[in-house]
Amino acid sequence: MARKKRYTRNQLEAMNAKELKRMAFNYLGLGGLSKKPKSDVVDAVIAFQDGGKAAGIAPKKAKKAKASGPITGLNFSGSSTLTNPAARFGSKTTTTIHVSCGASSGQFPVSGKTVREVGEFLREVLNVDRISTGLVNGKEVDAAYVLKNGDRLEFLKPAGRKG
Amino acid sequence: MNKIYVVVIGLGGVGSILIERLGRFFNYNNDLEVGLLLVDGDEYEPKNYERQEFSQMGNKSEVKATELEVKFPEVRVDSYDAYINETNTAEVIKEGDIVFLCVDNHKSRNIISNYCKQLKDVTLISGGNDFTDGNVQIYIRRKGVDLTPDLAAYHPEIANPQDKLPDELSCEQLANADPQLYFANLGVATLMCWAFYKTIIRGQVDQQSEVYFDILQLSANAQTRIVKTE
Repeated sequence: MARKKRYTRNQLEAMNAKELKRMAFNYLGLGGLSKKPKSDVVDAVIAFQDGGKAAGIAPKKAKKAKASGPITGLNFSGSSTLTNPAARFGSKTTTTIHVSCGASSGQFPVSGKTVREVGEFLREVLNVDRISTGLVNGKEVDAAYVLKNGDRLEFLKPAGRKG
Repeated sequence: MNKIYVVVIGLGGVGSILIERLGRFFNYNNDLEVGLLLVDGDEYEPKNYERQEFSQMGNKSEVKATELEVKFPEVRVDSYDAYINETNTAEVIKEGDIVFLCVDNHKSRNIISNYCKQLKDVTLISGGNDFTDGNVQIYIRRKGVDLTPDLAAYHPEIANPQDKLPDELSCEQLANADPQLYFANLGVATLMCWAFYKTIIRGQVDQQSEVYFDILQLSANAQTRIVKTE
């Protein structure tokens, strides 16, 4: 199998930013760099060529996966549901979290949101009471808890009274 | 043959459906020797026909015990003609019992749950419904340790009940009880049977110890409940 070309820092810095990012994505498979400054991309490529030991792409991608909204790449930990598991590497995907209240449940793109925000957002969909306590993975959490990939959120519903 | 003692508290819309299903299961199960105690201080009246089956008027526990003895002769059936309260609970529930709680108020649930927490071994399956939805909780305690949370652990409305026991209500309050849907009672009774089968017959105890259902969504959903440490 042919080895990939190894770039020196001088060679990378000689490229313009657009060329550099295109090379990083198409040739080395590094995603999530389109909005990074050129110096960060150079560092990421050098780190990647060195096996990711230097401060570079891996920590930056892990940090990005915690943010709300679409993520790029698949470099995150924990279980999640991808809206399109067959999507090509580097294409945009969305993580969803299982949210339930009583018999109502669904998968929603609420990673990075607080329990309070989700309760307000899904109040009508899941019939969440205004003062419902939130449980994450079965344990009570504060309303300010920020949801992360792999969490399961439940809003407690009161027990039925009659019988 | 395994001997079990089953206590059914409350023989209204849920309990009267439940005991027919349990009675049939017990009667034709050759691996079980079952004693069954029916508990209710209420009377069957014509207004109950809408949601409850019974062959004659009279105290619910006595009428049903008589009916079940004829239909299911392999099951030993006893009756206890009183509403449950803090003073008589110990007469009704003993160590090792399997208790089905089918009452219509949170105060009774609070009393029974607290009493069961004092026992070493008990299985408490409690169900309740509103008009078109409801839930079932499974509280299991073995060797003095909670394997699943008690009824009040995640339910403040049971921990601090705002309602009353049946014998604390006036005749007017009893007559003006909230309407109920027979199918909701049936849903609760069915899920209680499932809970019994899973935990007692199959011996499966896990964190999925509460299940909700909603008729209008045609759905049921088991929820994770973790035992809280003091």
